[in-house]
Amino acid sequence: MPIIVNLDVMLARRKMQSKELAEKIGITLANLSILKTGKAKAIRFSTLEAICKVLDCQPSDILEYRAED
Amino acid sequence: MTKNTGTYTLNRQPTLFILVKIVLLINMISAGFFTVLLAGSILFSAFSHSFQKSEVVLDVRKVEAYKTSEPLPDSLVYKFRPSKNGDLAVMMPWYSHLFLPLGFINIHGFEFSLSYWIFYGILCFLFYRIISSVSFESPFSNKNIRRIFWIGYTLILYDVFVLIRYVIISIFVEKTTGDVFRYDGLGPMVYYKVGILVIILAMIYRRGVVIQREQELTV
Repeated sequence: MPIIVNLDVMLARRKMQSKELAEKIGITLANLSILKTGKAKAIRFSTLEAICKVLDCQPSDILEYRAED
Repeated sequence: MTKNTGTYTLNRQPTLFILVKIVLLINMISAGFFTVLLAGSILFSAFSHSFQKSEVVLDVRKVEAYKTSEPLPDSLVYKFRPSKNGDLAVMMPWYSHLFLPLGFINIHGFEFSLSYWIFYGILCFLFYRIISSVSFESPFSNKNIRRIFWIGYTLILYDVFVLIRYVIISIFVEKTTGDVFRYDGLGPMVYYKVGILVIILAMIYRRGVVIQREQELTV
């Protein structure tokens, strides 16, 4: 998929663990893992909003478009 | 009284499902029992008669043109059995018993034949597997799609089988009785209609699997 999720990069910058983020935004660790590994088919605006709020960043910091070859 | 929180978390199957499973299990056992019983008795009878031709009782009706005439006497190749419908007893190869209903049980709308019990057993088995594997947390699964499609195919194939049997026996009866009688064993032919409906539902269910997968992968 040409949409890349850079959540692990943002987590590393904020020095935060996945478990902590999952607890703060109120989703399960399994769902966060789906998002991090790029298996997710869609992301809810509410989830995106919560992630941006907790990590203090913009959606563009998490999501990136890279054209497929 | 419990407060309705608006969320549905069913970890176990409802009681109705357990009852349906028990009924299906009983049906499966009875289908298996009748299949073995019928196959065994047919093969035993064929073996004891050295696989010779044996008597088969068929549901027949008189052709309109012969209705007014006196009943025909028994011929060398066929005779009549005293019954309400006027069943015709003909000599047929031993293996025809495997496909035809037994003549002595002629209940309207109920077919007591080996082929019917095999068909019934397969249907009950597929239905039982669906009921046992369905979970309310993720009710759509690929395995169940295949099973539902097979239920549809089985229903249609059974009616195709009944139609082919009807054509073959019709030709046989008309030939044997010199076009005086017609075979009357076509039956209601409703299974294929149900089968088509089941296949349409399976297609809808297949779409449900895709939607569920997408929903599960939405974070």
